[in-house]
Amino acid sequence: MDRRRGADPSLLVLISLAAGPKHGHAMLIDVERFAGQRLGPGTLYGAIERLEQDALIEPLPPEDRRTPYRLTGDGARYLAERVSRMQRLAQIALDRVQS
Amino acid sequence: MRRCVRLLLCLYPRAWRARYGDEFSQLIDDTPATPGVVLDIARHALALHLLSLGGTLMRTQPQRFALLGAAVLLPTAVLIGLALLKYVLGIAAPFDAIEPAMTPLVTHPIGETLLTLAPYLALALAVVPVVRGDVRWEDGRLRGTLSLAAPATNIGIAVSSIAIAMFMLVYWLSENL
Repeated sequence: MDRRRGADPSLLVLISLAAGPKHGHAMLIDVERFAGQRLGPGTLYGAIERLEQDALIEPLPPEDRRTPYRLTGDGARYLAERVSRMQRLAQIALDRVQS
Repeated sequence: MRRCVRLLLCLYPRAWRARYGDEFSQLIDDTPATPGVVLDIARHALALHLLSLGGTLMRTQPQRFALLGAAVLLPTAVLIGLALLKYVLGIAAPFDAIEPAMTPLVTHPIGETLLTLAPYLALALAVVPVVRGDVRWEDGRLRGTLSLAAPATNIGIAVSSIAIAMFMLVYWLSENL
């Protein structure tokens, strides 16, 4: 069994943007810092493209050639629901493992 | 290595580059160029091309693929239908009328193969365009999700293809086992 399996890049991007708007490189650094997972540029932009299509994130005006992104209202609600569900599942798993 | 990474940008679809090209170039300039980064970018560019290549037509006109599947399926369906009429219901005239023309076809290895594979090809033509796939490579694993949004035409062709394939399988088993 692979014990080093990483988290969903889309979720990592949403969590990163929950702390405030960021451009691509800042997201990569933030994700590596809080999740210990190094995303590739292609993987990151695959996630950004999907999230933007789903209106969960939106671009801000570019700063030089860097485009920051931020969570939309739908994105914040989606992230809150998703991590709440994960938290409930994690708690159930912990209770069962420890009992 | 960095030059190699920048060259990979040319592999991206033009529309994607128009939307994300500047910021993605900047991200590449900001990111250390490693073999992993090269692979990640090449994989993403390839995935985008594959999606746009088959995706656009399939997404917008899945019924056309189903109708093409129906055309592929038709000779096999007619042959089986007329054979059933003759050998199950005793109505021999339609089958006997086409038999002289069909015999060279169904006894030739290529013709036999085409008639046998037709239901599977028709099924693929009806189903593949209505399946939405999101496949990506993450942490050394292929991960993906599939969803289905099928018009009635595609469902009808798919069900017919499965029915004919199952009938042929049962017939073959009864004849050979």
